[in-house]
Amino acid sequence: MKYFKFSCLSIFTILLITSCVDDDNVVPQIPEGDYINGQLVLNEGGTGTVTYISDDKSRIDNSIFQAVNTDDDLGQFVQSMFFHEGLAYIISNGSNFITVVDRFSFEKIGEISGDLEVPRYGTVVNGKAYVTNLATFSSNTDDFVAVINLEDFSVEQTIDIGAVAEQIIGYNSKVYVQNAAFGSGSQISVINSNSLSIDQTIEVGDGLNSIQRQGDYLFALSNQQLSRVNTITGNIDQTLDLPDAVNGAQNLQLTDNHIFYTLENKVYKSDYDAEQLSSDEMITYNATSDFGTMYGFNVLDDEVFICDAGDFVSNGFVRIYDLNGNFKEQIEVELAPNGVYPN
Amino acid sequence: MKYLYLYLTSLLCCIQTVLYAQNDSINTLEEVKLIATSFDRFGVGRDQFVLSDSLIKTSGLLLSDVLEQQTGLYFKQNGYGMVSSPTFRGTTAQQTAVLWNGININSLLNAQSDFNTINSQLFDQVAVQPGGGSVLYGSGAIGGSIHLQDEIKFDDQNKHQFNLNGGSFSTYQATYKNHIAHDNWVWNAGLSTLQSDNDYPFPEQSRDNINGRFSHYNFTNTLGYKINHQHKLILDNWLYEGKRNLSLIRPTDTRQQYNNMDFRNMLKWQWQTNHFKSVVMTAFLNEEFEFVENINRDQSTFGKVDRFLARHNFTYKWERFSLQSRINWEQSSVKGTQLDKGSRTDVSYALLGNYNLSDSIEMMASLREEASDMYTSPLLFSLGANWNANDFYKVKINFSRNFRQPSFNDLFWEGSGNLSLDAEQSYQWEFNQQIDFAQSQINISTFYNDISDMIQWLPDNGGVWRPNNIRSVTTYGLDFRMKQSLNFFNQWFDLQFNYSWTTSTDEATNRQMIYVPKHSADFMLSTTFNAFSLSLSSHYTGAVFARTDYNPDFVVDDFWVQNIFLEVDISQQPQLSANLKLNNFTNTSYESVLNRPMPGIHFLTGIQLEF
Repeated sequence: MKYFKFSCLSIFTILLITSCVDDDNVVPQIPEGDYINGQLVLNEGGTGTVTYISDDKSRIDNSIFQAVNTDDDLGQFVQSMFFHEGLAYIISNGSNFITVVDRFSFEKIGEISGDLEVPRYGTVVNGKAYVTNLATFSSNTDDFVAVINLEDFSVEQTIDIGAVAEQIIGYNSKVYVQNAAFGSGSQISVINSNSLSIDQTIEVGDGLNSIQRQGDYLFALSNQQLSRVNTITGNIDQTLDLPDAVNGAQNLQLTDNHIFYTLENKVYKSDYDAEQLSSDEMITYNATSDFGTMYGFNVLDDEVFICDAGDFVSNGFVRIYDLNGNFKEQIEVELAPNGVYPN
Repeated sequence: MKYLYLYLTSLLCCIQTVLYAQNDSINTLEEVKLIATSFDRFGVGRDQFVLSDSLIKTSGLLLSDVLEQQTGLYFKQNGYGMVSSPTFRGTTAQQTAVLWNGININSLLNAQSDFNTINSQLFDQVAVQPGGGSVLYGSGAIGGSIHLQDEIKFDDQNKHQFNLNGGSFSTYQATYKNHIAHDNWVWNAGLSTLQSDNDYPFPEQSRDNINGRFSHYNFTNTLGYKINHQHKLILDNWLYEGKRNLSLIRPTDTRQQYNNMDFRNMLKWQWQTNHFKSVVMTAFLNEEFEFVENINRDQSTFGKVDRFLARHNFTYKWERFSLQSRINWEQSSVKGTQLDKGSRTDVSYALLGNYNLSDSIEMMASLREEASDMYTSPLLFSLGANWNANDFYKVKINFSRNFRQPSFNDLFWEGSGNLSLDAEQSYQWEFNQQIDFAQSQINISTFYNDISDMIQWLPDNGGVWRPNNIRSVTTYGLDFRMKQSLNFFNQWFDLQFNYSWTTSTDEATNRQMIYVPKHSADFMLSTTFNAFSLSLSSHYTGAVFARTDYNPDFVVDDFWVQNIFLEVDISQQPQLSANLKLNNFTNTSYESVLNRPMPGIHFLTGIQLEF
């Protein structure tokens, strides 16, 4: 469903690495590739695909991975992707592997498999990737985090979580794992990336459904409240109640100035430093599709993206709004779009 | 719950679609030759046909194989031997009813039958009745019904039959069947085992079917006792146990296993005089499955249904008039890892009348009221007439209303079940013509089916997948069936040809339903020369869309598969024969579900001994 596909998004902004030598002759490395300056839409599948949309929306390319890497595909049910140092890691939860591509050219660099079991979300801390695995659907205690060596793309170690492991966010040397999925759970586990063990668990509200980070703060949205964790102290320093009208809100997204969340087919926006959360809808979304409404929701820079999966057996689409909720455009993508990533 | 989506699709098949199918035929056989309860005089106006032993033998071990090759029915199979669900006349898998000796045995969990779990050789007869028949056969008889029948013959004969087969992909099968009749007693029993590594190479690809191994065990038992010329007691049992690994799309996919057991028991008391027939029946049916989500982990989920039913059918005959009353009471309970505990009581009452207006015209009218404590169901009816215009032309017409009850998954799935579902319903008419010539018979059926309140699983606004009565579908089409005997150079050949054209339209989108081929056809030519019999069969399935937006990149291509069957009689007393079956001998690469390749050329050889 619609749990965040974006754990790591806000963390890894597009940082173009330049030479670290203090030198007057620094030549900035300009990234190259067909799929730069735009957004990537992850289409869950069936067999997963990625759609590229250019910033000015003039170019829309479907199945870009298959176009660049003929006779290869991303596996079944691509759940999410994360980025690190010019590479994109695309997670297939149905086929238990992660495809590594150059994020701008989409040429395949490698594949991570083995010791992955229904992988969900990933993040990178200190050069290692941490990927949550749901393991068996029927058990909430066998979930684990796979620690992946990004030099040789191997799973070095697994960390048992003993609870559900869903979204994951790395910051400083800590890895935050949301121990809640599908409407139940209220904990966040904090993994110390040095000891690779769980240092702390943070209890937030029931029905935790998404976590996001902004600056030193980790925000956690639950059924009835939004909790803010200070990552320096590890304590919750603010809890805002959701107004009754938006109980059950999901899909937390943050920008410098605003907090966004959704309920059913509606989008809400509150100020970042608001003391009360808004229950005035910013967007009411009335698509012709009855079913796959809000299958993905992202706020990137100055645009709001709503992914609609339609009936799940035909191409879905993305609706784009500005940050004030003014409709800009609707773009057909591929099967079951579940998230949009900046590129 | 993206994963739940995968999970539901693969395991329960209760999500998308509505599909198609059609029927078609086989060797002669009029209703007269049909076994007692399968089709009775209240099926007036309907098309119906029987698959003979010899045909079943030529087409394969699993019921999917037989029906696919002999009737043009389309089966969606996730690879050979895996979950197989039919589309009959453009309807869903839940809209085909399977009856075992008159009892509807579609799973109460997912409302459908898996045709790859049924061994076609165990039954004395397999009969097919296209079209709606809910008044007679209950839930799911919308697209059509398949009848598995055991025959009770008090003929004072003893017979034993052994079949041993072996073939490609380490496939082994053994079946023993007996028929022992003495005075007032008759005993038929069957024992069968089938196993296969099923690791076939995919034609035109570089890899094999992985994790496709399966095994089946079946035991059937029928015991009949004739108390006197008016009273009979019959006991029927059928135990099935199957273990199947679920084949993978990619080698890294999680390896899963699905094990299930069905145990069916029935006791029947039949009292027949010249004027009336009374059948009192009681049955206990148990179905159970275990799903291992990852073979490498010792963890599984299960579901279990106990079903008890009692039934009384009373038929009274008075000159040209027959009247029948049917009372059926059922109580079922379900439990499982992902199912809320639940139970359901259903009672139905039906009244049926048949009138022979003349020797050539027969008419029938019937009503059925279904009451359940879990769902509402419409008042069902069926009206029909047969007219035998002359020796070579017959017409049958039928108009009916039919239903499909919500399954236990629909009602009780943990966190998703919807207790306010209604039954799916359909209005349908059909018009059947039969033309008989000296050496051939032609049947042409046209049908129209308006199906509404179809149950579909889709995510609600909160993202939770739930079933609702939302879809409406209209299907119509034509089935053509021909049998012909030909003589070339003093050698007789039997020719059989079936063709179906089906339109199945989603009323919301006005498009053909996905996984419903517009065209399908099959063809079979057989002949006997001295001790040798040879038959050549070919079946064609048209292309189907796998996506509702008709995306041309997601089409399951049409395919044409040919099989050959050769048998030689070695001795008459005891009867001993050997046979060889070469399936898909042109090594065609094909699939019935996207990304689920079926086997290329493969063989099965065996002997049959009967004494």
